[in-house]
Amino acid sequence: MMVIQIVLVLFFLMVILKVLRRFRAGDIKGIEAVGWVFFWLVAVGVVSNPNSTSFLAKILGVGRGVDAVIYLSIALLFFLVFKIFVHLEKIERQITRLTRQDALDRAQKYENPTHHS
Amino acid sequence: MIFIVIPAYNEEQRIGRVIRDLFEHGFSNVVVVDDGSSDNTVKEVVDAGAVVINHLVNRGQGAALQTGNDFVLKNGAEIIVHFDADGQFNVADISCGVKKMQEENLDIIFGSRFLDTRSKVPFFKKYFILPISRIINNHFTKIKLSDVHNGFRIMNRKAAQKIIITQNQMAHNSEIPRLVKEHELKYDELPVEVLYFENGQGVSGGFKILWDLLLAKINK
Repeated sequence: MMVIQIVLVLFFLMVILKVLRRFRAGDIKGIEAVGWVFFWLVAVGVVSNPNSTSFLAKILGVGRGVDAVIYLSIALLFFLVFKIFVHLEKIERQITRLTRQDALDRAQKYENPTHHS
Repeated sequence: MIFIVIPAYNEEQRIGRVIRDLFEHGFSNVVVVDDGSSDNTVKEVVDAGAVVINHLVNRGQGAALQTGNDFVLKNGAEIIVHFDADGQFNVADISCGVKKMQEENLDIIFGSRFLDTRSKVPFFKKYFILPISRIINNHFTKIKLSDVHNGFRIMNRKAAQKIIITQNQMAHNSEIPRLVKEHELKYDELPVEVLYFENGQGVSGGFKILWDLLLAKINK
């Protein structure tokens, strides 16, 4: 086993622990936890046995299994970043709506000012 | 009733003078939207005698303008003037604009620095930044304006009800012309004077606006 493999496997196991802890704390739902644990277990499998991806490479017509994994990872990353972006934008708009409503609620009843002339 | 709406973010230095200037010119309905300032903007506004509504957190100029529009519409505004807090604009331009609007039966008027020679636009801005911005802007908004991102605007009640600003930051300056086109509002430009201090948006601000516009397209 290469050093990078050991490091990555340990890292992934740590992430799985984190996922479980988040699940226990109630931060993520059961189905999400299962999904993430599965994802990271697959990652552990791929890293500890890189040849396992060669079937993927064959299906996709990419030279090596590792390449296939990298391509797919990048695509997935882009997709996730995009999703987060859209979500953030939505949150921004919601915060604006809240801020606006609050500002209008706190605004004093308007009276035509006459105190200056 | 004419209402002046001024978005303000950390403008304690200049806001008081702007408000007093407006009062002196006979505009008594001045509403300042404090956009979560961390300085004494609110106090300055209250001392000057204008109405202040305040965002608890900073949401950007576009968001502040929409809050201001909501507020004054609720309070019976017939004409709404968007004005800057930093004293860049000339209060005397408002009356000309309102008169023009009524005479020509317009829904909205955009201020422009380039229709007369009063504004001393810095060289780089005039011949480099603004022409490029104008091309991008005209593409996004589909209406031709001689000036882009000039915060001076006068609109009637109908226009203010149609124009709902969703761009929190500076891209509202492009969003408004787009909505004017979409709702077929009658518009024109008005020569206004803009005084230059050292602030303002540089090139990076321009890229931020372009980015916001593209994002809005994706998010639709």
